[in-house]
Amino acid sequence: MSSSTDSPTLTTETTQLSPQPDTETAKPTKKITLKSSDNQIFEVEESVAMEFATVKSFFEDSPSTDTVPLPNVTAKPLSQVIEFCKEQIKFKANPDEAQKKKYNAEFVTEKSDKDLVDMIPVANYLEIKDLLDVLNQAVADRIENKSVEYVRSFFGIDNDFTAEEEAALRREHAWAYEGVDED
Amino acid sequence: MLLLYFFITCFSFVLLLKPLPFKPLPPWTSEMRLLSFWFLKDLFLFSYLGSLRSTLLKVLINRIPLKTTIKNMRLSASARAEKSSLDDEAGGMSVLDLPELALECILERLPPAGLCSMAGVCTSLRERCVSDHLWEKHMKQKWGRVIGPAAYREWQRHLASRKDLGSCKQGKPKWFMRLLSMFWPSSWSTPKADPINNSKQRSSPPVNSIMSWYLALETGKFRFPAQVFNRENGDVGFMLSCYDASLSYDPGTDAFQVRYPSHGRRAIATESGVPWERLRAPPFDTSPHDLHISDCLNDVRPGDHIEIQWRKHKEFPYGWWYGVVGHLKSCDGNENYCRCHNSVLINIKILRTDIVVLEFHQYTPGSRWRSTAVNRKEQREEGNEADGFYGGIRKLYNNEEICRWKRLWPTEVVESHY
Repeated sequence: MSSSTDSPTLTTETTQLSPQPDTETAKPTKKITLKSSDNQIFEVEESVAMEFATVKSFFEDSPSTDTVPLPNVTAKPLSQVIEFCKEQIKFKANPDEAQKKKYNAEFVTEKSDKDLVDMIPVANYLEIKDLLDVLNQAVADRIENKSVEYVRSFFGIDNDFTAEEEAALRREHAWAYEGVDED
Repeated sequence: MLLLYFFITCFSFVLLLKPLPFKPLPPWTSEMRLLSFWFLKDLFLFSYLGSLRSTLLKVLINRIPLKTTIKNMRLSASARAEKSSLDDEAGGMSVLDLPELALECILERLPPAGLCSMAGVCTSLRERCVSDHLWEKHMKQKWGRVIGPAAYREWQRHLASRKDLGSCKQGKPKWFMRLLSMFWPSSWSTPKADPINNSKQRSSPPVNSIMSWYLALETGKFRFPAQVFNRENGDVGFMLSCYDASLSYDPGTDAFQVRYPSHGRRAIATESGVPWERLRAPPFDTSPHDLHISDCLNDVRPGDHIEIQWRKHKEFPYGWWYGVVGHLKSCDGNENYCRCHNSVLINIKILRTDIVVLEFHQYTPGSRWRSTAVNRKEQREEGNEADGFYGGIRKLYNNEEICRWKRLWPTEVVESHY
């Protein structure tokens, strides 16, 4: 199996480890071209592309299209999302909840905070529910026991409270601010 | 009652659906949700409704901008290319550059302390994180077992006594209040204040929000009424009883500081370090001085587990005492001949007996506390100054409740009441 990553065209393919039980995908695999907002081209197998509800409905509306433009999506998070969906297809073919859980956990563990946060709008836009659940949980896990300052830098948010408001908050939520993890 | 149950369930369901197209939801919808939630003891149904609602929300929030997005995609290829990333969804984006729905999901997954941290990040997150719907779940999870309507009323009194209350009485329709008062379990849903308009207190959660109640409980600042098993733990006189008391939580030890009201000459007693296992919300929303009118007297039969009200003097509050239904003296307990239940069929004749024998096996055989008898037909307080006074009975249908009493069983036989 080849996976050419030569620029400017990024091509990703599903590695065919096991025969697909689905008769539709047993036909010669059809490729679908996705174009990111930064004009990167992704060629993905139809089965993977159909995991993206947005792309799927786009094809249902206009079946003759050869390239699906994704004006809301940049290349990096898109490539990560495709990577995730390719694995999910394998789990669809060979259900193994434990392995799937393990993969999902590893998938988010190795991502940077920024990668996670950048993927969420993409998963949301493409309507990939499973991934969105995994990402939302991962973000919640990363910030749940962190200081306010940590959360601000995590999301890149400016503090717009006045000094008095901030002090009042600290008094009120003292119990919540105790015992947070090191930033 | 069943019909009413269905009516309420369906009614609230319709209400759930109806306001969806309008955003934000009217303030009372969250209360209706809470109300329906209390009725839907059946968790499956609840989760079903919940998921249906979120699906509908998702469809409305997500699908519509999506369709327009696809149309935009087709309009013009060049215009499309120039669109900056995520531009046309800006309306659906939150302060964090996250889609509204995703941010909502993240907040829903945060524990209370995490929500508090998020609320301290910026004003926009503050407004979200104080929202009742995020705290309902936490409130129920942590406090649902020990908080009853009496505690809710106490909280309302506590709020009313605060000068800075402002206009928290807004937006609660009268019909809703009536409905609320009919079914006590829902009465702890709170009127909702608009945190945006409450600019004077931008940094504080609205005083009447579930969050502020949660925090008041969690920090031990708010004392609330509940019932405590084995009052003054170790005092054999209270073994296998459950009494009303005033409690405050100690987050440091995850246990409670309890104040028991005085009983005549017995002064106010306090106890600290009372664990969660020894607490419950009062089973009925009545004063501990009121006789409970039992609805189970025709239903009890030997072997049933019960609680009975008992007090030493008429001016004392009742406690609930654990016992089992026994057999009459005339009966040897043999199943085939037992007449101790009013509809036992013997030799084709139905014999009735109105006497129910109650046994308290924690006391030594022969002890005057070991058993008592009540009449199925006449519900009144029975007793005397020496033996104390027995009141109403509640049959324990729930195995969990029975097991809890058994866990509290004394290691030695008890000699006396207090």
